[in-house]
Amino acid sequence: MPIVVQGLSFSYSKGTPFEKKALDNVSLTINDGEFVGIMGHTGSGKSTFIQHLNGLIKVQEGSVEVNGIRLTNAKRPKPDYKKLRATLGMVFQYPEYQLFDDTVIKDVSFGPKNMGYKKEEAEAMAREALRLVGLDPDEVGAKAPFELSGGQKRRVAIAGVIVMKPKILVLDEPTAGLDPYGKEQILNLILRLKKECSPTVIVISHDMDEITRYANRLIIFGDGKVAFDVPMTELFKHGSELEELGLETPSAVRMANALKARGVDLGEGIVNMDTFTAAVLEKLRQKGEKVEDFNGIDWFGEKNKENAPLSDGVFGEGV
Amino acid sequence: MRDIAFGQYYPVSSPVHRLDPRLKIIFTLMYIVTMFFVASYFGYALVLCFLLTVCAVAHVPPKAMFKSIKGIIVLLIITAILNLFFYAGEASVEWTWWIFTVSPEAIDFALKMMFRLILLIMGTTILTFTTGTSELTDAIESLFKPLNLIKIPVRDIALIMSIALRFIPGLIEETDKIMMAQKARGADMESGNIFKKIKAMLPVIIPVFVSAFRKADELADALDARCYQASPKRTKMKKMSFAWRDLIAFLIFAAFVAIIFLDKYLWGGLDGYIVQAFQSLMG
Repeated sequence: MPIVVQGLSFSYSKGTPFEKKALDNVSLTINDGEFVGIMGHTGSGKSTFIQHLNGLIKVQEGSVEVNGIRLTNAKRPKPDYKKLRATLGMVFQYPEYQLFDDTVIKDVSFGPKNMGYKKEEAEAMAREALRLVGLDPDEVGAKAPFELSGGQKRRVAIAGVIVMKPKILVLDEPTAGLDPYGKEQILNLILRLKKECSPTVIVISHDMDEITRYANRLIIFGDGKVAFDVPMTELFKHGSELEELGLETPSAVRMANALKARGVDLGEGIVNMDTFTAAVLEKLRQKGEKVEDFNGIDWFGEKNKENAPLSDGVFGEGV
Repeated sequence: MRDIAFGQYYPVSSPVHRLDPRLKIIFTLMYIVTMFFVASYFGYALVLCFLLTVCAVAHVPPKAMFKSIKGIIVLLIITAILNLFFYAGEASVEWTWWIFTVSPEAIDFALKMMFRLILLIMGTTILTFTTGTSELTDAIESLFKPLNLIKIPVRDIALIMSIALRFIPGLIEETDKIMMAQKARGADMESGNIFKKIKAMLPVIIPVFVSAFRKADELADALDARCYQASPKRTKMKKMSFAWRDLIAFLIFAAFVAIIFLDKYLWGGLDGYIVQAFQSLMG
């Protein structure tokens, strides 16, 4: 079941001199199985938008519907927030700061316990969630969250959200503060979670090159409105609009444009390094060069390892 | 959490905002003392008029001022009830019901007490509405300078104060965020009895504490990295100095205080005269 948002508007501190319009008549639909990237500079309303999706912010104007649960500004009927929050998992920025309990297993089972599961059931779910994010429940389960490394903490926090098997997973800048390898691992983890438990994924990101590699649809916010909403394959057509919104064009698109200006047209559909490389190889093949098959760039030399283990100690010190 | 109206600065430009913050602090202290000398309902009405006028000059909507009472409503009710039933002074008539005894004097006393508290809070919020936190700490530092003579590190204390005040919005924001994160995991912080609610707050309080300590550490490092030392002579970016408008404000305020004192000591409370005049007017 999709997410349907209609005419959503929101202002912070309504009715005071601090009033600030954060969302202005936003309407969009997100279907099952999509990997949606949301971008926009600071204050464009993207965080406010995703906080509406599971009822953390009360709707002021318009409506939000998630899996048939409808949120409006009407007091009644009261929406089933518990069910909504079990359906739509939300991972906030720097989620490791929300850890609080004395052991990892207790912290991860916080969600299911809130949903009314018994302690044993909740802990069994927590162990499974820990395995899913690439941690060994027997090894870290009994540890205090504060003993773990930064990257482990972040994965524990993500486990604390996916433990309820949400059908929709929303992540607010999941890779902030990580080094390139740590980013890669978190993004691969998200892909794995999409395959194994949460078919619909929405990711907020600031990194254009990162988002173009993973998402298949891009929604860009500007001044509280949806500035544009395109399938990833059509992004290259919107270079100038991106610049107007203060966002960079993906590196691959810039390179393709630079080549085009010099008489080498690689054709349409270039958004990331993979599609760029494929287009260059195709061009060479057309010229009669002998090229081998290409199936994606192997950034960290792990592509061929099926379900490569998520190793520890690879996260940036900044976390 | 975002909408807490506790001592919030009201960011507009007005003559009251531009007054010397030291003078505003002194006014507030004098105002608090003066409130204990208000003797009559006429006096309370005068104080209210004075506050409303200040609000108008300061471009602060009076609604914002009245809102500040919200926080002390419980205190108000309790003091009113205690004063009403445990009035110790002489009473002309006593109405007794079961163990409760009420007299017109007790009602009069309780009412005046309530007005006093309400006006005290309303008056002091004008200070925070019209003065930014950095201005306030600068003013306090300047006012307490003489304490340096007896080896009290005024500058350090002022720095601690301004850092503490500076941390409040950040902590509120942090609390907001963590609350949202825990709610997203199904935490229920609104229903249940008070013990349940307190327990439900733990998943918020612990991370906020951890983050407060972390931030304090970072700030200490940042101060160290810039070789900050509180004690040596430092200059100010904004120097405070008295201007003509400060003198005018002082004269107006002095007149207000004078009337309150006249009402108490010379006229013995104008209420009596007003009632008399009203009665003679009615015939």
